[in-house]
Amino acid sequence: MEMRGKETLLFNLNQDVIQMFNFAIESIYHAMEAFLSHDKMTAQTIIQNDVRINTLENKIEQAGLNCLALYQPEAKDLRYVVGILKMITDIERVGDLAVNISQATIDINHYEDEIVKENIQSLYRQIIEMVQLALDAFLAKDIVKAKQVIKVDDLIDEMTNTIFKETLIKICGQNQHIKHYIQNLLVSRHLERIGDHTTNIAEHTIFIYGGVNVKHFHVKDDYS
Amino acid sequence: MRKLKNLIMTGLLALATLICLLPLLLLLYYVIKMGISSINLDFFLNNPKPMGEAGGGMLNSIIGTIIVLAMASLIGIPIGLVTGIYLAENKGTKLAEWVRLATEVLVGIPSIVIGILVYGWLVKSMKTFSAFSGSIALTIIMIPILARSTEEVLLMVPHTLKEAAYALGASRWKTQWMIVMKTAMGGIVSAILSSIGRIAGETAPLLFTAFGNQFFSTKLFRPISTLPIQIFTYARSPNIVQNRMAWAGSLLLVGMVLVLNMSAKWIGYVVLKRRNK
Amino acid sequence: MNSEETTIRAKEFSAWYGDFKVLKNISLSIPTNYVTAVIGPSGCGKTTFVRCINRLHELTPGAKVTGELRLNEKNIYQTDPMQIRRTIGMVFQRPNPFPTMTIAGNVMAGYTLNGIRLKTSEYKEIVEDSLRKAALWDEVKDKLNKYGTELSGGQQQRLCIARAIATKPTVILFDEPCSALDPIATGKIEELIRELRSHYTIIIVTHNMQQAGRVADFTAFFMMGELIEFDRTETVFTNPAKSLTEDYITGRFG
Repeated sequence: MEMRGKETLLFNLNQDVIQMFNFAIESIYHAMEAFLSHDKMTAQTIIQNDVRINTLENKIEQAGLNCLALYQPEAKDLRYVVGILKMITDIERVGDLAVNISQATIDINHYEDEIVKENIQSLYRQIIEMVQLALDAFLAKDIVKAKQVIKVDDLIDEMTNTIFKETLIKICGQNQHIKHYIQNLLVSRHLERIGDHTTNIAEHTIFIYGGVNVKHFHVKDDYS
Repeated sequence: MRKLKNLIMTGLLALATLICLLPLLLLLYYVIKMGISSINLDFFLNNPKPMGEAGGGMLNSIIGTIIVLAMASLIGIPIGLVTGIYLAENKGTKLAEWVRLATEVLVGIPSIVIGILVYGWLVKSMKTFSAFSGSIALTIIMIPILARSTEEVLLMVPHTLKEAAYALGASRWKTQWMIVMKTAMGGIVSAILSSIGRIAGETAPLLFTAFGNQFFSTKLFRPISTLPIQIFTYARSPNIVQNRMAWAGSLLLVGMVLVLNMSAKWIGYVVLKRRNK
Repeated sequence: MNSEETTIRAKEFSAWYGDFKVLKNISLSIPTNYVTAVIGPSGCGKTTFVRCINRLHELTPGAKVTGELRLNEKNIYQTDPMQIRRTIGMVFQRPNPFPTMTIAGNVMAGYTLNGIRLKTSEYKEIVEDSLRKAALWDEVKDKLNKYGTELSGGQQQRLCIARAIATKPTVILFDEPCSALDPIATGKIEELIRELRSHYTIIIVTHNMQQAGRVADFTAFFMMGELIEFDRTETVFTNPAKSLTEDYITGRFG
């Protein structure tokens, strides 16, 4: 049977959300690679490309609004539209945070502290895995995967705190490369915030496909 | 308590219905009883014998009735139908209102008055009683009845059918004939049969116009005998056989009217059933 | 929106029933091959407007119009009304197949009523094509000789749609086509209307706003005989320009 108006709209909406998600993941990847290899050119490109994500956010928002107005979706369709309208805010913030990381890349010079670099790299790898998992959970409508994403957030917080403490020690120890250390600190914060937003995205996924609001609660293994 | 009330009411209604039906049933019973013995071949094949003589039949009256009814229908049905169509199509206009008033008045005039009128117009100027003036009198009675029932039937055709036809680009004429008339056809046939049944039994106007004729005649412009007239004559006759023939004639007449009205009803029923499957 | 072709153009068009001005200076362009919904509270003139397009309005005694109403740039009121009606199909509120005609007969009524005779092969072809387009062929192909009134309400309405499209019009008018139908039949008709728009320009009068949302590309909002707003349906429903429109859409009145 042919797709009716509402279904076409929902299908296109989904395609756009996935596209936006992919742009965001790309941005994190390129931004961090640029940061770790001091590639200021790529960093500049990331900043310029952010407009793609913002444009998509506007487009999806208008389409979601139209869907609500024209088709009065119910149940899972309603949760879907409301869920993604909130999700795109988080995705867009992720894009902005990648921009922030790129700005740090441009600001910083070539000095490197091995230990700090290693920590940031671990954090980065964790974040990328987390965001990828969140996208997989959304694509597969998989609540279990989404809950895993939420669990990772605790690990992220731990890692960020460690980086904070260690960098603080390093800063107090010497004042020659303070800018370097502060930028690293900021980058770790940005990565942590990416983690927070990814957690939100996973919570939205659980809302859409599980019908439960798990925001602001500590997620247990069942829905109780 | 309520059940009892229900039962009493139903009982009373049944009783009332029975009381209404009673005259009809009695009439039928009596007419059949009195007339059936005289319904024989002679009755149908012979002409009346002169007053006082025994025997005879009602052949001339039967033929006469058929002739007069046929003429009346020939003139009355087209005019009645067209008037009915006109009234239905032009419901709001001044002229239509006047025409409707006229039909209402005509329906209310006693048939004997119509007979006298036709006597004054036609019989006197033609200087003779005739089958023709008889049928004119009947036509005058028939037209308003047929016009009103045709109008009623046509108005029952849903307006939305006409609109559908117009929306397809049909002209008023085509819509009227191919859609409205066809849809109403069952009801119109019913109305026609009913109106014939109505005038079949009219006696008084025929007395002054057709007058009656002892002999067999099919001449249109000469007096003619019809069943009602002959029944009237034979009923007043001192001859018992002729009296009995009056009964037979009544039976025939009642039978005719009954058949006409029942066919009218039956056609209406069949069409309705087929329409609402 | 100006880049779309328009099929029907109204310019300062007004209509009366006797002394009562039911349409007041309507100026509107209906785009080609889209579905345009006409919405508004009862008595706002939406049905009258549509009935003026195929000149059914003037069949009411005392009806009068002024202004311009064009179909493909031809002035509707300066052309033979029967000719206009043959190029415009109409589907009414209550299904109204002709009770004295068979299903096939009903489909071809537009030809029969206009005295147009066709070869048997052409006849059969048009019957099948129209019934297919109206999504009714599979359900009635074995009973084309049965009477039109033997179908269910939803099927009868689709038969009326087939009848309207058999004469190959360019415009189809729908006057609240689903008000007498159950939700499932309504859904089928709405789907059908969406499919038809690739071949026809469609105008649908509806008092059901949600229906306008589901079915129409453009929406015109009428009130008390005036055209208040005309725009893409998404815009009218998410961000209408006039507050009157917004009040109606949000159910503040009407």
